[in-house]
Amino acid sequence: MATVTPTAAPAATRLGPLFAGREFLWGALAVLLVLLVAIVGPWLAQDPAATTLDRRLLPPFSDGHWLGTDALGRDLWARIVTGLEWSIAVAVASTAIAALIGTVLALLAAERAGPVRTLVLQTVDAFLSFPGLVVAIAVIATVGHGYLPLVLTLGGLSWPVFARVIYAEASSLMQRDYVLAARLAGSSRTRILAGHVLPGVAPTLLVMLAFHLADMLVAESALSFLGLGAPLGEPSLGNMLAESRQYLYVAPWLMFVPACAIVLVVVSANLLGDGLTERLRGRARRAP
Amino acid sequence: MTGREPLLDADDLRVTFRPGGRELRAVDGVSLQVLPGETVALVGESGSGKSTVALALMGVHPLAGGRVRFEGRDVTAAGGAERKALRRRMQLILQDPYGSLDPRWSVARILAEPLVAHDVGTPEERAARVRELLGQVGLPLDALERRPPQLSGGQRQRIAIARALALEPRLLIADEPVSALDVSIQAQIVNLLLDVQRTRGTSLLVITHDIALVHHVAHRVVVMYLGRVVETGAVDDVILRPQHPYTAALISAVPARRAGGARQRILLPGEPPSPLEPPAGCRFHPRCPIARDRCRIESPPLAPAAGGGATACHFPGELGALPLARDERLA
Repeated sequence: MATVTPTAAPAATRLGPLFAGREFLWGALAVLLVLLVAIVGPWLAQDPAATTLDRRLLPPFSDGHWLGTDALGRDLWARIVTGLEWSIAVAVASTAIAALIGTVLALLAAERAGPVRTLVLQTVDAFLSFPGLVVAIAVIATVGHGYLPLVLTLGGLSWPVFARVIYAEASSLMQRDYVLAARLAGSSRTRILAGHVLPGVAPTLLVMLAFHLADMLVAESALSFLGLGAPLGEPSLGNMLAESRQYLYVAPWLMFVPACAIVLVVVSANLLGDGLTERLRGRARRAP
Repeated sequence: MTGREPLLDADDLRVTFRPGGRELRAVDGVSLQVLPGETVALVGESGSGKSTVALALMGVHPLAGGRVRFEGRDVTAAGGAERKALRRRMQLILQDPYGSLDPRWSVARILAEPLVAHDVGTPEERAARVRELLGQVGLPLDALERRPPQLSGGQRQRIAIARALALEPRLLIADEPVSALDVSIQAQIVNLLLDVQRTRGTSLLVITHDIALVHHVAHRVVVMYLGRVVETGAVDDVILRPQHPYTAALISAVPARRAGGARQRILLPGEPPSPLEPPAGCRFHPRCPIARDRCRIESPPLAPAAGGGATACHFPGELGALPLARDERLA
């Protein structure tokens, strides 16, 4: 799993004046569009598993199959939207799991000194010292395929990214005078965490969610590419890419379509993350 | 001291930190009492441990020794519920109103929080109490929906005071309540605190380095140096006839009111020593203008002194007899 960089340079410097100051807008729009396609697309498209052997490897813009067909004559658009649905579902759920575990443990560690904090931080270090994808391959090879094992593995392995960043922020917030004032006023630990610390880390959390979503999508695609992600017969952006390799010279669109989809989602999510960073930083500047 | 039972009675407080395994005695045997309705000033320069005393009294720092009695009951020995009930009647106002209010919270929420935390009243009663508090600290009702970044420093400190008053404490501890504020605002906030004390009979423990403020507000003074009490007594005695050379030096540092006022300043050499390695004998001796051999060896206990107070000096009241160096820069 790639590292998260919430402080990445604003996209404006790379994407030109079109995006200057509007990363958030474009990113949000693109992410919404992708989500819409992933949710609504499969209902409207043809059966992604229906084979028509006399219409194999049709190029895009063919009659009845605007993105063409694959080696078994299956409609590429139907497969891409179903694959998108699967990949997004995996990315969203594993991001949610990672964020939940990471945030809860980070708040716990920030609030409690002593053995609890040491245990959490050491565990984070231990997790981060392994290459995530390799461990994920090992785990999935052991526990088996399927949506749930995949999501649990991805989430269960990538939470330390959240824990590390949220802990740093939360423990600095715990030092604030208003947290001391809340303690003096008699507020309980939970009230302080929920009322002062969690809202304080929320902007960072939001930004991380966007970047992590992109990371999880790439991770899912990589695992599916290796045959460890989506189960057999379930289209996913990764396994479509894997299948396309045999037809690279006769039907390159089989590779381009899922590859472009991956790039599109990842860029959208990153754009959204950049935009969020910019927005929330701007707000933080106005209200210190 | 009168025969009245003290509201707050801290006896031989000790707070020890261990930075990097070394022992730092931030508070080393401090005793102080606050009577009902009384204002006591705790004075000392930065690093003397006065804020640590406040946090120790509030139970934020664990005590390495000593006892805190409040309303005659031992806070340090009290169990969870009783302790919470006792702490409720002593409240601390923090120094910096820019840090002590969560910028994301509305004033209404900030003021209601102590009531919610202690489960006081219904939401309607709490809302009424919040409005009442706002009036007490002299802020208009339309401040309720504001957030701290929309308020000035003085307004923020008023909110902080209102928050401390929410639970109707019998003792208010104010840690440098005005030092983060503009000079023009300071008097207003001081008067607000005095007002609260007069109208509600609240006891006040004011922590400050500002001797001029002390003279204005306090009945009694406790002077701290490097984690220990060096002098205590009624405010007029201490200010007009300081027994300890450190107190005398602090008082002489207050700028004269008249231009060219012939005030003699006692210049202390050097900085306060590190509390990690306090000097042997009297802790003040390396900077003391009247230190003698005995001071380098023997630590003076806090003993009754002329004027009814107490001082920790082997040679109390002697400083005034010495020819003092005139500060040429002021002349």
